[in-house]
Amino acid sequence: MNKKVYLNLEIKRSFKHYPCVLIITLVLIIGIALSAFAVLKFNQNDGNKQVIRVGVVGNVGDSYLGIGVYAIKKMDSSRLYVDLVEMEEPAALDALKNREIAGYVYIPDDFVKGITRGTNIPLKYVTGDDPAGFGNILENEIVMMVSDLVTHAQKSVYATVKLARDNGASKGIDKKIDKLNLSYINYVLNRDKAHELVITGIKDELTYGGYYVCAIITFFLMIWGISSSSILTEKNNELSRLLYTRGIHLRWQVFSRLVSFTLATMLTLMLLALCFGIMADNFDFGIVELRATDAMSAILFVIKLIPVVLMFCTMHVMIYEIFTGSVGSILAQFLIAIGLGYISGIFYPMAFFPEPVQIFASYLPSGAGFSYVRKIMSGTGALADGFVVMLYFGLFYFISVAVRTYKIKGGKMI
Amino acid sequence: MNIKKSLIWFWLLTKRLLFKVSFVILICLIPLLVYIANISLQGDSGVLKIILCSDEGNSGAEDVMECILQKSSIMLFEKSYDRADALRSLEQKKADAVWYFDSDLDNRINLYASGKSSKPFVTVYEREDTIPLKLSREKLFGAVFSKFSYFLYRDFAYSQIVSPNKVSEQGLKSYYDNEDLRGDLVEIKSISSDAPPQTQNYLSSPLRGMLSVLVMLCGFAGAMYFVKDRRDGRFDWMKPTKQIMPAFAQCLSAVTLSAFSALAAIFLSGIGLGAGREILCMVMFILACVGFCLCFSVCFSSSGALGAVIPAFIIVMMVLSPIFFNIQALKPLRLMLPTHYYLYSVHDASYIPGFALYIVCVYALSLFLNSIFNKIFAYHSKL
Repeated sequence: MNKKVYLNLEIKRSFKHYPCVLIITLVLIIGIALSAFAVLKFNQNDGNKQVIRVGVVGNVGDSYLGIGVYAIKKMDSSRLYVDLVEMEEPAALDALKNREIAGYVYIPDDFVKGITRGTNIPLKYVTGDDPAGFGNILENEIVMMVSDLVTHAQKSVYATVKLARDNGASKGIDKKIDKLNLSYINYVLNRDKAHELVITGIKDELTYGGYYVCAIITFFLMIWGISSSSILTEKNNELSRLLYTRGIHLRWQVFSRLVSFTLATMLTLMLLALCFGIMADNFDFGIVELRATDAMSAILFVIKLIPVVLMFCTMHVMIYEIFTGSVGSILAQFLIAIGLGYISGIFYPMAFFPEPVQIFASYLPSGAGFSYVRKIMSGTGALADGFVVMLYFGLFYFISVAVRTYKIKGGKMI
Repeated sequence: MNIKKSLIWFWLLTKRLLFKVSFVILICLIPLLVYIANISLQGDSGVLKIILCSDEGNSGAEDVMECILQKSSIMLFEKSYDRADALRSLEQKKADAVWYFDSDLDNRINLYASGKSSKPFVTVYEREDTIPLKLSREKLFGAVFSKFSYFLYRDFAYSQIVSPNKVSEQGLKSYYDNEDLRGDLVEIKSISSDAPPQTQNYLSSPLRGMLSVLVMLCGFAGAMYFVKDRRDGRFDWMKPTKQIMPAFAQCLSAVTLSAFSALAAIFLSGIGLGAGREILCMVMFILACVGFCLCFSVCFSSSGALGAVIPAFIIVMMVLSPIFFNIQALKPLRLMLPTHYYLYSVHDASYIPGFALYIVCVYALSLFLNSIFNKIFAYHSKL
């Protein structure tokens, strides 16, 4: 059999299974994209820009507390990202369980009396046992900072009262203390004026939105092999052995498999890019990097991704060469995708990880591939990453051929 | 479903899986990999990296920087005395923000506190202003406030209470420092107990979620096995409606084996929350996963088509279940995912009844779908 004929047959074989894989993938991905878009739109129309809702439980009718809550809600800079909602405790508990609020502050009845006496009766900040994320830890840190803040102000007020008493200046002290308190409140409400904010701009880097678009593309490429199990799984080695005896070298067999699978992957990406480009042209996703995107630029972007697509396709071919059986190969793909993806910054930004992990991850196929995708999106030089990506492509191809050779020559794979 | 027959199927199919060397190796590798990952994630890390910068010899800035560095935080702080170098790090995305403290910081804060100057005394450099960075600035404010509070007190005391000739600054400071306030102003409590919420390394907190997706994936792989076997005619001797039994057993065997591995990984990595709760929730999760995958195994006639669905489901589970982020959108879709119930139930026992109800519903749905799709498949085969 002629090599070209074999390549054609391999492509036809892939595309025999492909329509079903493609239709389901497209329908699901478009469904997910539309849902995500609907959520984005819903939030924009809501006019609700606050991201953290915090309940306030207890008697805030007290003049000081009422003013404090009012000031935070209406005057403080935190009103842009914290929304204080007054509620009863059962309603707050329900809202917290449904994750409608991040937590609630329970104000005990004699809280203000305690403050004035110098014996703090603590506020209770009740927070959820959230299994995910760092949001709660961050919120708790800010809550403790607020506690420190009030304690410093209290120290100042009590020290002033004591100083006045010891030095015979107690006359009219209440009014003076009110003035001192107002100075503190004024400073707290205008704390943004204590620093000057300079936004240096993104320059050649991506915004978080752009970063996560690249992360989704990379992760999709890493798990795409699972969808394509029907294209990549082989029942046994008999056909491969027969072809080998008829002059189709194992290198060519693997190459043909790789070409057919890469073509199927590129076609899928092109179709997704086309759909996405049309959507991005008509709607604003709120991501800076996607503002000028249309169908053509999305397809061009996919073309630039060819080295990464080649690398991940070869990786999938290699996995299916090593692992026989769908459970093993799917499990292996997932473990590789999630393990490598996690430390390569696909879920949490790279900067969240310890430095040795960051350095290690940048040399992994996922790290190099992800970095390449990011650089293509930001329009910066991706040559070094492209080189690492192509090295991995060569390595995976070599391993795939070696494994197939081992299998055909009588060895058994796991 | 006949339980006894299902268990026989379960035993036979588990044996078949255990003969697959690749599967056994991967299952054994999971706890090991999670253990290694957990160790490697213990190093210095933070959700934001902020460079604290000032000129050398700026004692006021040194105090503020020490105050920030001393407190353990989810943010990573680093000191620098070279503003240009710090800004280069920001530009190269090695840092998220630079806080530059003006020279002679004490004097600047003093002037600000006394109202003689309204010029800012810290310059915050950021590439883009995100919510975590906004929150981080509250920390900056908190650190500067200790100095501000004292300066405001000193200025107020000298202008309104006593003259500097009567009480020296040393004396004034001792009044301030001697104020010993009893009790914290805020107590942080968790919703499920009176204790503060358990603080976990934020980098290892997604491990449980990732393991739950892995268990779910094994369920899908089991369902794929069943669909392939059915297509190959291995169950043709059974009545079509009874074929749900081997489907159940196939999913159960794949899910149970991977769940054992996940449980071992959870305990090895130290993120376990007590054996009783972990085992109960894992058993419920196994049942839920099997029921969920059963719905798919009865609906699909081609393993390739079922395989094509899996990545999209993985992405949906990763995004909507509380693994990396707590996204509160698309509630109806979230409530359909077993990972959602499992991850919440482990942390909060009040979710367990809802989880049990979900399991009942998902099995009822699978039986319903089984009868419907058998009719559809029978109709198609007649055609």
